Amino acid sequence: MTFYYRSVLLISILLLVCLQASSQRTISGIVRSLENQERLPFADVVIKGTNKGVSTNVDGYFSLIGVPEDSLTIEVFYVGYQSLDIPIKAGAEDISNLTVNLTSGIVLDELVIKANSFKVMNSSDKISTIQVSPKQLALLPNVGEVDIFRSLQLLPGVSGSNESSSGLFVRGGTPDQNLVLLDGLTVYNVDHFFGFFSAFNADAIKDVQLYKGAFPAKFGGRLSSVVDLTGKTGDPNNFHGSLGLNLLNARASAQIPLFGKGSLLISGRRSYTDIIRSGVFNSIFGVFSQTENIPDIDGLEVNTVQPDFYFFDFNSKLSFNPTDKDVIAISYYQGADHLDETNDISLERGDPANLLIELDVDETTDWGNRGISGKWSRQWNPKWYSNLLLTSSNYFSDYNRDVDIQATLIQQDSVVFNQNISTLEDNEVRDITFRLDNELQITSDHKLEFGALVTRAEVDYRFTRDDTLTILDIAQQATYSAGYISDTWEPSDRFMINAGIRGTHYDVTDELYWAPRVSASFKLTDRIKLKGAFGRHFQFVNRIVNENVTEGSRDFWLLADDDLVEVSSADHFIAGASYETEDFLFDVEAYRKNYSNLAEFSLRFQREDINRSQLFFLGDGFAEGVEFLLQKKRGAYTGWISYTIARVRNTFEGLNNGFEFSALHDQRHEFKTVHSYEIDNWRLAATFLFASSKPFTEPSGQYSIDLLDGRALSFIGVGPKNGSRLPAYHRLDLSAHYLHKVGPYEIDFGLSIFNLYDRSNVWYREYDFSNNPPVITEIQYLGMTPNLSVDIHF
Amino acid sequence: MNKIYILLFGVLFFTSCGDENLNDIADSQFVVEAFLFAGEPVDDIKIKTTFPLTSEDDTSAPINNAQVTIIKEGARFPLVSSDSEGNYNYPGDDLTVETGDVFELEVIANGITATAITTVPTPTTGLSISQDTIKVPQLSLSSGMAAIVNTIQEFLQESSIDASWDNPEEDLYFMVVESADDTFIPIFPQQVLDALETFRFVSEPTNESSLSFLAGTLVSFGSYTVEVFHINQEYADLYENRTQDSRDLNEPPSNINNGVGVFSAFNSDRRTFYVVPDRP
Repeated sequence: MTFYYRSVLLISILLLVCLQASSQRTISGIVRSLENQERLPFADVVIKGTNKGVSTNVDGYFSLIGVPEDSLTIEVFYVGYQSLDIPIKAGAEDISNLTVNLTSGIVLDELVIKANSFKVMNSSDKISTIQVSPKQLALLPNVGEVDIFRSLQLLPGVSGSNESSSGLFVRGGTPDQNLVLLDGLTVYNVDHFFGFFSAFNADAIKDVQLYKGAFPAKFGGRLSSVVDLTGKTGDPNNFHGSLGLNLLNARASAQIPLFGKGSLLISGRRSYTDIIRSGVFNSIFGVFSQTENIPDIDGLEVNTVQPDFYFFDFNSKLSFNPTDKDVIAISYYQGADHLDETNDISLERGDPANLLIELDVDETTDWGNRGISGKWSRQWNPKWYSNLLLTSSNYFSDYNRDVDIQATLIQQDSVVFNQNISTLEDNEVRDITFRLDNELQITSDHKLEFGALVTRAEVDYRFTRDDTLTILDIAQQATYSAGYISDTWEPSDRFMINAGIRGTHYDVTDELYWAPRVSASFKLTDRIKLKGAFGRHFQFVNRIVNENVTEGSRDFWLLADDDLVEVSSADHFIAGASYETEDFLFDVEAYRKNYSNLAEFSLRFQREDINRSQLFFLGDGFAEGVEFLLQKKRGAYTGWISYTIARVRNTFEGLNNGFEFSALHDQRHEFKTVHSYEIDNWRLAATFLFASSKPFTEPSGQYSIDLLDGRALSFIGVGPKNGSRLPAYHRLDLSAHYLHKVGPYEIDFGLSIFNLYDRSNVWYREYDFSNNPPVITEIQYLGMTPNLSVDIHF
Repeated sequence: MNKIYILLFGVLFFTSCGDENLNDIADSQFVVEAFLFAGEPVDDIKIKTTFPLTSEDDTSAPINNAQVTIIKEGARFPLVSSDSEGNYNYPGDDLTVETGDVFELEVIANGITATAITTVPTPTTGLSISQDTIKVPQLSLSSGMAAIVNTIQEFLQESSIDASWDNPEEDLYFMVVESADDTFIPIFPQQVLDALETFRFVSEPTNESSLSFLAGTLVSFGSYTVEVFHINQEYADLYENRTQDSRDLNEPPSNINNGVGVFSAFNSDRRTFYVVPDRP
């Protein structure tokens, strides 16, 4: 408890310092979207002609302290919006409640974004941090659905060759090492449709911040990165709506004003794949079901039932502003996938038929998230902002497979054999979090952030076969309590340093985990910036990879318990430089992450007396690489070229004879280009991706062992873990959108072509050992897939 | 000139960073099949190659030039090649295999050193079998098919032999039923033996203290031994992971470091029973 007392004492002292701070001229206010009065988080507010500036907080507030009393101009930037200059008259008085309304970059019949604004992404402000505009992402090529996470895969440092996962592999990290927050709510499952789409409806998301490493002390509990999603709040004054339809799903959203004091946003989408199966659905589903090979046997009758599949998600957010200083919001999110692959197979034997063998396969998979968050935030004064948050999150994944095999003598109508084989895998994660965050602009040079949180997490995982063999049956509970404090210090216009520390107490291990974080930047010239960062990160809940590619999400979450899975940690080291002009940004960052206590799950042995610890392997690893980015920021033509050279290596005592091996997602080279062009009402975009080969474990040969009773058992020898490589991955995607305005209606007609030249990218190789010799099949990703969409906004 | 250096550096930087293929070692991998039996000489050790994944038949080749060494309590006992089939033995009589002994195996072949370790388990104790003589009824073809089927069914029910042994710790055991005779005198006509094939006893490791089998499913008259081996986990693991498939392709069960196969020690006890014709 000493930690808490010290923290409280420190915070109290800092508060007193703050209240006695000097009374220089202060300009504070809110940045909003002109279209719908939506508050814009993380917008840049800068005194023109200087490097002095701040960012708005999550509720759009900003506070500039120590502003000169001369007349000056404030510039406001926000990704995807036109920048705005605000002239400020000379004077000594503070200016509060300044409202800045920015115009979206996607406005028909008006000029495109001007000045220093970034159109789709802004990666220049903070080290290893990228801000993206969901609205602009919607205009990039897609596979049937605007997808925020898939678009994030086009960013430097984020692997873009994982078509089967919308999870993010950020700088050698795995998707479970990303902290995904939606309005403060932890989202454990980010996938729809086996990972082909992310679980977030772009219509309901206002802002996306991606922290690729050494993220601020405010965030914790994950090793790799943070995706901080801010949901739309809606227009407090006017009703808005939108409807969308594409070849996979339909969606709708409404923003309902609440008497000028708030708004209610409702947004939902649902696939209609269980009713109408479009070509896009068949193409995608074909990728995931192509491994189901039914042998060609005489007399075999397969009563194939088309899989029943759908996904949906629903977002709602009630926002209320009782005063100018207070925001109260309740956010609800639910998303789920359902897959039913029930089918019957029958086989008659004999001539005439005398034996009937019937297989009745009932197979269903359900997975998804639901959660609710409630927050109260208050701008106590221009210097002090608080955010109180209570969240509850629930992730579930239920897999049931029940196979009934029956053999009947047809003439005698007598059942001679009946056996039931069943598999059940259920995983559930529940957490409740209470957190308080504060931002304190102590002086014009110092901004302090501090806060605390408590999370109670419960995880259940049950994996049984045939009702008798329990492979794993785990029920875990844990409470982790964390406190953090960080200071952003700008001693000059050119130098900025952020130093912080986060302490987390994890009751399962009863240990305190200290995580220092430091980042700094130095402007050599107005165009050249040097930057560096260090961060230590811990993870207490891990998603265990359970390879099964045909039956949906089979990975499962477990809490670290010092028994099966230990608390993992990662140290991030980052250094970089950027060169920025009004039109272009060139950015390079090198990183190194050292991992400890990584976990891998394997069903190597399936006997009844299995020791659970034999299913898990623990080890260390590292990821390192260099990212290059050249971005055209503004104008009718925008886009970027990025290249990453990287490697990820693991060393597990129980795997690969203890030798170092490439991680499954190790990829040496990745080259990406994104091009966007605006002409009249047309928005044209093209993306190209090349990724060098990914590793896999290849069977190396066969052998047999003679047993004590004279029989011989055959085995497949396995080469070095992840010692072989699949072919390189590349594809070209195109999109064209025509934006048309009819009265109050803005209509977006879209055509998108995924994998234009129909590249046969290999997902993995399948080995069928039931044949002699084994049959090798290359399972391929999606071929050329066009998609049409219509969206109406009003 | 500086630009040339930068270009050269860039080319070297990128060309030196190709994807690594670590699979070359797989070509040199070999199989160790090494068993030690308490009270017996060390002569059941075989070294061979793996064979290609695409091969329909077992085309593994014996490795006759390996350096094979057994290490007991720090003392090294080099083995010699027994034949051209990849078998090795220890020619001296100063290497004994006794209960509780810990043995290390070192095999150097194809430039790779593979090692393994095993411990000799305790002997099987308290072994007994429920019958020592099984009488097989004579089948009279003239009595009709129904009578023959009934006779066989009754015989099968009566020919069950229960073997039991002490196993308070629920250790792993493995039972082998073998003919002790060289001559083959068929019990039933071949058609009947074929029909009984599916009922034949197949050994599996067990942590129980008894097993039953139908002596009637044996194929020949004569004497048989029931041998119950006290086995180690590494041997039992061979049976546990026969369901390798591509969705979960992992290393096959093996206690051989830097190789594949098994090195295990056994201790056992045996009993004898007889299958004889039931003559009136």
